[in-house]
Amino acid sequence: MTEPYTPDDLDADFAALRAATPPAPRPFVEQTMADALAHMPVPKPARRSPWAALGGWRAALTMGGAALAGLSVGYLDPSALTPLTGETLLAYDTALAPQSDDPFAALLDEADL
Amino acid sequence: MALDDTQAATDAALLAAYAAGDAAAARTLVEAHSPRALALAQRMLGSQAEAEEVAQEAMLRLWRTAPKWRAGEARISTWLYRVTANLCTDRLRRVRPGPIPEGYDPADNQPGPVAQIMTSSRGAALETALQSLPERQRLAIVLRHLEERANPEIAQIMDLSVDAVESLQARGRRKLAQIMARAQAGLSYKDD
Repeated sequence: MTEPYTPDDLDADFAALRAATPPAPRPFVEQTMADALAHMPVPKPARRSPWAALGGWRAALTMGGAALAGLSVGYLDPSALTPLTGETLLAYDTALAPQSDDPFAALLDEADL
Repeated sequence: MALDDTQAATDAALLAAYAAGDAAAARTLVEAHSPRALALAQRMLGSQAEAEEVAQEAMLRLWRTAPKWRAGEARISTWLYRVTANLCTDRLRRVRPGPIPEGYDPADNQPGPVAQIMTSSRGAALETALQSLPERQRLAIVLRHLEERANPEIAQIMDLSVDAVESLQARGRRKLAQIMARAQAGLSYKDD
């Protein structure tokens, strides 16, 4: 005579069935992987920051500095630059300029040739 | 953070990486989740070929959802079980003409599970007995006892209350025990 089938027997049989479950067949797994790759979104190129487009923050800083210097030269009162442009360094005396209409001859003349 | 939550966060991160074009993340997700979908589909449909089709379709839907996936809203495993279960339900009902009344959950008409069990091993006997359960009882039982999911998660997968899931499982277990008892009487399993 057999013993009655109990809930514990059922749990033991579930455990046996779990243990006997075969792994997924490799062709199935590989096909699933192929599907995954076929449907994988194409990565978007990373968006470049404005700093990167200018060559990085160092380049941007240099250009900014140069722009600021240019603007300040444009806006400054020219008299503030007199020590540089006045009578000493860069003044150009038109009386000393060559009088010839021929620029080449003027150059030769200026060079005392 | 609980282990399940950690796993869910890892899965969500992997899916986000996949959506960003990471093939290695895809591989990890395939290895972790596709066997689960396949096992559930195989036990619901009883056919390896059909189960593979269903599991591949469920995974395909996961890949399509990846760019829109919002971490923290659902677990990938729960979502995948649900999609797989729905696809299985569609397949099982496709052969049945006409609308399905609410609450309709007939037993399979496969005759004589006990007779089939007579020639089966004990684990295979249970497998055969499972196929004789009504679809929703089978799903609740498979998810709980073979896929080892907790009832709250099963309730999410089946879109039912936890009480309803427990009721399905209790009825399913009773029926399985009856089938197995009759089979045992014929096979004397306990004497093995």
